[in-house]
Amino acid sequence: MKNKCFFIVITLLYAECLFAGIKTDTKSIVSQRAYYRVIDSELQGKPKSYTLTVWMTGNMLALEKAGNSSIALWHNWQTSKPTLFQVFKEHDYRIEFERIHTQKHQRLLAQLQALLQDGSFVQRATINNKQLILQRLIKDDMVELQINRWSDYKTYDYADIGDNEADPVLAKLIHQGFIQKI
Amino acid sequence: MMKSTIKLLSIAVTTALLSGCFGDDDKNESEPTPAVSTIDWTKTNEWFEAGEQNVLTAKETQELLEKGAAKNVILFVGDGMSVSTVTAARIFAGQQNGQTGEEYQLSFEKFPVAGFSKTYNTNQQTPDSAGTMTAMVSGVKTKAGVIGYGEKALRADCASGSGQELVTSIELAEMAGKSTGVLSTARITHATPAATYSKSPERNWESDNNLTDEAKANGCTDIASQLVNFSYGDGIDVVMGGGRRHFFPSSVIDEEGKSGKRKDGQNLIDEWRAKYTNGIYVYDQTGFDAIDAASVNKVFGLFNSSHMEYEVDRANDIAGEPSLSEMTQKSLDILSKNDKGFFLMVESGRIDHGHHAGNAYRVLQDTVEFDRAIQVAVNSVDLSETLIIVTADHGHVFTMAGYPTRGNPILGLVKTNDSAGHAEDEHVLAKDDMPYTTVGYRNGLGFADYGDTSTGDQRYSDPHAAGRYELSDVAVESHGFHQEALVPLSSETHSGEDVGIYAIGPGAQLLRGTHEQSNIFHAINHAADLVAKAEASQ
Ligand SMILES: [Zn+2]
Repeated sequence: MKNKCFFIVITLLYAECLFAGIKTDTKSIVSQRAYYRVIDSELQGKPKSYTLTVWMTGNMLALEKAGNSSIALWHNWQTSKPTLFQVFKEHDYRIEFERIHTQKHQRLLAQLQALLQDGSFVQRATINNKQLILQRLIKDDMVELQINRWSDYKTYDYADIGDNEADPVLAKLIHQGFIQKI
Repeated sequence: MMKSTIKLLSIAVTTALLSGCFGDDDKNESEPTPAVSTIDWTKTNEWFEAGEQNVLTAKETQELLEKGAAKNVILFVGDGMSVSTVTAARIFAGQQNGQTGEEYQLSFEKFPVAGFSKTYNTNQQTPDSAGTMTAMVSGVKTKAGVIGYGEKALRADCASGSGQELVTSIELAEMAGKSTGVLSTARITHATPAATYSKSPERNWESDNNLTDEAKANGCTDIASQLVNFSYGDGIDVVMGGGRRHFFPSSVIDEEGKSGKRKDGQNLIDEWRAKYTNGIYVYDQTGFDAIDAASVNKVFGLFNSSHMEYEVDRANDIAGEPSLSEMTQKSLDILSKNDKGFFLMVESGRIDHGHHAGNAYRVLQDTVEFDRAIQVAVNSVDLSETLIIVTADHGHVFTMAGYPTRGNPILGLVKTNDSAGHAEDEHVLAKDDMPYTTVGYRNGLGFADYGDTSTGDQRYSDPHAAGRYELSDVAVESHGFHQEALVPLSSETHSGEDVGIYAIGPGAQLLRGTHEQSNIFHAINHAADLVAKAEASQ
């Protein structure tokens, strides 16, 4: 069931694949983190480069851009209904975007999924005219630990942001604005 | 008396007229004779006739104020349904009906009694739903964010709540042997529904994963587990809403592909099934439709992982979910089988969320669906023995402004009248040479234009855009349009002004006037005699 769903999701992102009270199986994929050098030749002047880290476990996928204070984290990323979280590293907070399946976010997740072949990360890829070159691939327990740590952060549903201004940290995040750029 | 009233109505008001009417006899011979209309307004004017009829109807309306005269009570709460929301929704509904809109009456606007509710929390001028709903269902105001405890409790401090526990109308109704129901389009563990059945010094303790160490050490439990373990009477009979994720473990994925939140490994849905072996648990429209109200007495419906969909988006839900009016009808069919009566709370929870996101279209469509649910109740119950109260917990900074001409689309750009009072063809421009919409927000995320394909709450994924935007070519009446806001905040806020209370049935007259919000409980308690009946049954 799990493998079948994985296959369907990879090939057809919007495919329906519902689980009825099934235990999540995180063992079908080896947890790993990939460090990609991204060369952005679109930028004016000389090409600019930065590091992207993609964290992956069986049911979590995270994207961290060097220098950004927030991380995009997808829960149940192998299914047709992934849930997007924005993780604020400096504050130990997360915002859960339960229903946000905007084309922008769907495309981003699909692009990340395309970096995977047979459960491992590809060496090179080109996304939106940006070249991604795999620098380092690490398969260790740190991945699971780090993602679990992020998952334990205090979490607010985006639809509840307005009702929680009394939380001083959230109030600060509210005034900063959310999901500027993932 | 009638004669001088007609004069007042029909004659251009001048000081000469006024002095004439009040019988001053120092008339100046040279003053012109006041113009008098030849029309008999008493028989030819719809406003005049409707107003007269209104007085006659009011005279005929019975005031039933005896203690215990209400066998049943239905409390409808439009979360964030400010007076401006009611006005705009009335026009929106009328215009959907092909009318100009302003003259339209929502179901509850036909109720004989209306009053105002002062919504502030004990520690906050502009309130939140936890403190306000606690006031309405327990008769005691408390702090913002606090559910079911008096004001000495500190928010998110379990130990401070000890000894401050309040009794709710649902608990009393259960003790009195009545049937009870709680419905919401928000998560059923969200502040408003939670205040009917739980005690939590922190509204966000919806499942155990959010409990602090202090809370666990001092014996506080999460809201979801309090719902399933509710021990008054025979338990709450009908519970329907969203928030499924708070009832099962994080290691489990539900029927709609979403993970649970619980860390304690408990599956409260299974526990509910084990507790009520004759009850029915449903999670989708098909299951809901299959409930036979005649034979079922206990229903637990959790239709979404988080909040249920906005009415506009309901058709797009993964497994399908019922509307608020459908849930109301089904609940009344089940609860009204009890000879001792029932207490039902119905919350339209997403009016509040639509406002927070600055999306008036979704707000108004949800308010219209709320109105439908109220009409369902009016049609289904015996109003000589059922008290229906419709109110809001608080308002929002949503305004209706400018001088739009009669019948101007409520979500549209303002078109005013010309100097003769006729509608202009083009929309009016502000001092910045740009048009503006009738409805808008004082603060929040501000302008966004997602067209008709947007999903609810999409606004949070983009930065705030406060201030003015060129709207001439923007589809301002579409689902995905977000109105302009002045003060940039990443969420629009509640407002502090009073909200309406609309009532019909035994005890309704107790709610005339301007009230502390906590008075709503006392009106209900008097009308249904809840405390005495609960005590007598123990
Ligand atoms: Zn709110």
